[in-house]
Amino acid sequence: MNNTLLEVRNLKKYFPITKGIFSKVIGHVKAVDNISFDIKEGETLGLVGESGCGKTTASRVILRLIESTGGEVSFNGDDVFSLKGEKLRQFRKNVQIIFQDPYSSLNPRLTVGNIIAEGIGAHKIATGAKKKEMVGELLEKVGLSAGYYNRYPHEFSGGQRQRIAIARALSLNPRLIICDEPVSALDVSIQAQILNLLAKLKKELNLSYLFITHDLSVVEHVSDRIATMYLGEIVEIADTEEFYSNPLHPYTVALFSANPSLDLAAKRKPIILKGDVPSAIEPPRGCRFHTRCPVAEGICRIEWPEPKDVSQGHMVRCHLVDKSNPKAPIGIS
Amino acid sequence: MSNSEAILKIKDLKVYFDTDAGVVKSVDGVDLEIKKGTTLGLVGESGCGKSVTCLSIPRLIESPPGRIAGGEIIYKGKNLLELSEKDMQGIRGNDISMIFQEPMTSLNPVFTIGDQIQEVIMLHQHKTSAEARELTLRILKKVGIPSPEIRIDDYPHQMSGGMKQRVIIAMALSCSPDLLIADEPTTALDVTIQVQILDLMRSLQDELGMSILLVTHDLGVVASMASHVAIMYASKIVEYGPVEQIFSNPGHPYTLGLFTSIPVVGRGKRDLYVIPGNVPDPLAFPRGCKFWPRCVFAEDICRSQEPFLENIGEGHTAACHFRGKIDKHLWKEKTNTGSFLNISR
Repeated sequence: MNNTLLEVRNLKKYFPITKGIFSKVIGHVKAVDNISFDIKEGETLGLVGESGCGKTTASRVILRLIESTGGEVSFNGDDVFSLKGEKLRQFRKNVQIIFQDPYSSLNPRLTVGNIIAEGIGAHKIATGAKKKEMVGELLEKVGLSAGYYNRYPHEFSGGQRQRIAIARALSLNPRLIICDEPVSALDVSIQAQILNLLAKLKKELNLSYLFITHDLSVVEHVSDRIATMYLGEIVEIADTEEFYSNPLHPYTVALFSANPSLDLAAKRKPIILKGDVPSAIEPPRGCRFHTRCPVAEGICRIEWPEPKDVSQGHMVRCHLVDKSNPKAPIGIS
Repeated sequence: MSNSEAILKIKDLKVYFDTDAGVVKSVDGVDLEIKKGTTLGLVGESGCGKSVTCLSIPRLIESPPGRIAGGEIIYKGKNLLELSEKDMQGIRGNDISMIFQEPMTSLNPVFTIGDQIQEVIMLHQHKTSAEARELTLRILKKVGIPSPEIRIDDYPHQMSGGMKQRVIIAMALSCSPDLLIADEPTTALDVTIQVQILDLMRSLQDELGMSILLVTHDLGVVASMASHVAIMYASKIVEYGPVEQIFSNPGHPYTLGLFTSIPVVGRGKRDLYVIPGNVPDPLAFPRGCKFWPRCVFAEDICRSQEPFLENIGEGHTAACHFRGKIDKHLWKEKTNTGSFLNISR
């Protein structure tokens, strides 16, 4: 069964910038600008990019935690933005999220049991002893003891808290979990535990993940397909293997070269991008990456690059990639 | 490199914190050495004592509750722990500088960045404010801030994270220190900004010949920056040596565990090795080797006797009863990691 579970088409989110007492709109932060992707059942899509590129905003819009400015999201065939009543409740059950910082995503005044049971109660799935039993099972599923029910979040370490957050996400039997940098705040040895747990749960429960991260080593480990995001746009998307063996967009290539490698023998010279990510209020004209791109040419400064499909499932947005002979315009030296 | 002398030598350093629950031994007998003009990477997980070690070098441990309970910190032949507070002030900033992890919180939001850098220069080098401003402009330019004559009057909130970290590096370098202590200098930054900052630190090191103590949990950063590595676990150094040695032939099971638990590009999707258990509570360290409850090789001697750093190769030491002779087949078998060490593809 490889049905498309989530379909995102031309999704946009602009935040208005206002000024003065009448809150006159003087501009927009184009946090997410025309992104499209699919997630199939049982698949993990990795979304990589630097802070401020719109990864997190995109996930919030998909969850309908914030209103979209344009575009469509459909989940299991239903248009997410027009869902109401019972259908919306079902959608909320089916799509869950795990946040980056397990120290701020758990309410310190609730017990672990109540944190996990909150959704079960709200969706009237179970009450009383049955509910408690379900929470116990969830705790055990994520590798904690069912006896932790009455403990508080501060009694746990970062890795254990992230397990609690995962148990909470699983409590409603979701089909898609959005993982927003779930291991970035954790130590390496704990990171391995959580990544293994997520992989195990995916297999057991046939879950799909939208895995947001900035770490290229982590994303390769977990993803079936990967998308690179830059300044509100998806600039490249491909199957993991293709993505790593044949990255095409200069930004993807630069990210790879910046990723600290353990390989001492490969004395590579990283591609050092100049400057910072430009402001999303007035993104650069033409290709948005041209201000930092080491190989930008005249056309890049004028024309916005259309997405090119260079091979099955491999899309790239770059003027300099030749469709008939797809090669990255820069190589890692 | 072997003939260069050590700029900093830490011997048996102990830093304890007196808390209501008992004495927390954050640093408990640490030995370290940094050779002149080189970079030492100090690697370990949160809570292992890396930051406390760093803070104790310029004697910035808040007391109480903290106290340096023993040991020596020899900087250029002088024991810093015996200096008067006034002499120490002369060393801080001038000789030894620090960069902290969070660029967002280590600058004062109500002063311009120019004011903050000038303050350091005027305090330590007795310059007039006009001279200090001139010097500040030069340093800002050196660390790669575009149009420094405009940015010098910016407030921290007007700058991005990478820019702020450059300002902090500029501040740390303003008095040309001989030793730079960088505590996770790039952890809060994006990868493309991280390479910029690391590249900057490297080129400044080449230019000024300073030594760097680089604290990080990222082994990739160590690989690209350091000549020597010290691995810290539960308040102690468990392994020390040249980076090539440690990366190709780790001698401590903890180091081995660290290497095998991180995802590496190209290694495929099999399960990552997980070091079993948790970091021990500093109030109740296990008897014997502090790592034994998590070690797949632990034997009786590990549970009763604490190992000390011993030579296991050229300039390579490890605190393990096995002295680097780890049974690779046993490791494979016990950890189910497929290969012994698959760091370099």
